[in-house]
Amino acid sequence: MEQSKSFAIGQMSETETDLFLGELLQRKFDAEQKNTWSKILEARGVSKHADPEILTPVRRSLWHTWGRIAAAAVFLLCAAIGVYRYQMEPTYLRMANNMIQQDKLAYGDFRKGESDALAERMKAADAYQRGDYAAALQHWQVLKTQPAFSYDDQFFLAMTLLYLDNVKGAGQAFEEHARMVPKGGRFEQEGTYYHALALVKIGDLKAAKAKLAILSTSSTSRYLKRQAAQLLAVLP
Amino acid sequence: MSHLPAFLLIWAKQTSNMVTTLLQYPMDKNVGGIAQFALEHAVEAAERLVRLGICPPAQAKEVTASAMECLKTAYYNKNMPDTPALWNAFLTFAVQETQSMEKKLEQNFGLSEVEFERMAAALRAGDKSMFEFVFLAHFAACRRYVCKTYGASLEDAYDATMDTLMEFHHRLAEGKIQYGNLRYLFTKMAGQRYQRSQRAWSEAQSIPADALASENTLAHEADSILEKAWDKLCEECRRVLKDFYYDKKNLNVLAEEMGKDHSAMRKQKQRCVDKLRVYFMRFL
Repeated sequence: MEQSKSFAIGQMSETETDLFLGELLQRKFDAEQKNTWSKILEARGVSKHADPEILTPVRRSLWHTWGRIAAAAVFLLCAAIGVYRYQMEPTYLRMANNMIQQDKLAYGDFRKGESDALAERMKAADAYQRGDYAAALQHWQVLKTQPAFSYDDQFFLAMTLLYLDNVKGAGQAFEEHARMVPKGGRFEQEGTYYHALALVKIGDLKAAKAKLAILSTSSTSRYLKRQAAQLLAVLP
Repeated sequence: MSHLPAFLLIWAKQTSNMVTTLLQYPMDKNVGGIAQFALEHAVEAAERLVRLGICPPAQAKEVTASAMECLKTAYYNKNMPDTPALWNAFLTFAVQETQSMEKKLEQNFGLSEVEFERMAAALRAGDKSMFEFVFLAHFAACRRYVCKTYGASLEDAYDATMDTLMEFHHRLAEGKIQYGNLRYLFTKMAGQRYQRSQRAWSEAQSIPADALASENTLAHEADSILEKAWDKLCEECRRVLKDFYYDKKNLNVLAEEMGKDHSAMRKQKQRCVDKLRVYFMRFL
């Protein structure tokens, strides 16, 4: 109040007046300006007292920071385990797995045009096509007890076991198929090829190599020949 | 037309850079050749940068000028390369310059140096629109920074950021802030303001409550008298006093703006102060 009085009664020098009015007007216009900016900010959803975006900022930010660190650590751990397991898996085994999965043998492709009188075969083939290998296996096994069970059915039974990752069972089924199929019969070469893949997975590399060597030299299918040669090249 | 001074400033800067280079490397046989290359191919170079997607059209001229400067430095006192090699070197520098420019934009709230100069010039002329557009857009982020870094409450962080915005505005208008890393400067200033306000609050705890209240009351009374007196002032006096005391325009600038000479302006300002004094007396 003293300063205001001094100014009002003209007791201030020019410099003092300039300082006094400068300070006073700065306070006035700064306040007005801040008020204007606050309104603009409020219209943009940034207000002094409530900002839904950053409620309880410190705790949330800490949680976010540690949460992110933990998520990154888990991700790195999983990635490291994945890389480790991938590197531990031999190339030939990875290749065999890829070959089994890359082009799944469809039942319909080979049975097209035939009339499937037997209901069990129909059910087995249907389940196999859908990828429901557990159900398919049950139907193939029921069909196996019937006289109409053929070497084709045996082949798909073996394939079903292979897709179920029952490699030992698949190996035996393919052996059985090899005994059943006549020379030059349907799926004879495919049976040998997939049997070799099953043997690779079992770990019987010697037997697998023998089968692949036959395929790579004498198969009539160029595709099987190439696949067999490729796998043979990486087998120890 | 309001952007013209900023462009002129940049043009003058570039010309001065060119002259400096020529003075700096008087014995270098290449400078003349590359300077000529830069002059002859400036437009084509900028077009190439845009066509190759190296930089957006808005930055092409600036990137071209910087890359040409790099070219001069790189071939200082070396044999003049053939034109294809010169173009290759130019493009390499242009990529580097674009990356450095993007980094600069990130550090300066998306403002290039030209835009910064334009904004500062507009502020000096009393146009706050660009400043508000740029800085209010980053207000929330800055407040978040103060909250996170200093553990401030939402309200305190808001006040610190708002005060910083005000200070930044004044300092920019006064030409006291240079282009560089505005984001860092702004957030640091806000942090320091918050810390200062916390210290002031702690110190205020040791001052007797009645003394503090009396000090606040005095300031409040002065503000209140000013409000009433200000309302009574004529429009012209308000403008003169605001321009002089708040926007810090000197009497020469004011005189030029109002089409008066210096002494008439000085007298008018004095008359306005006297009027305000009379009203102050009335409301005391």
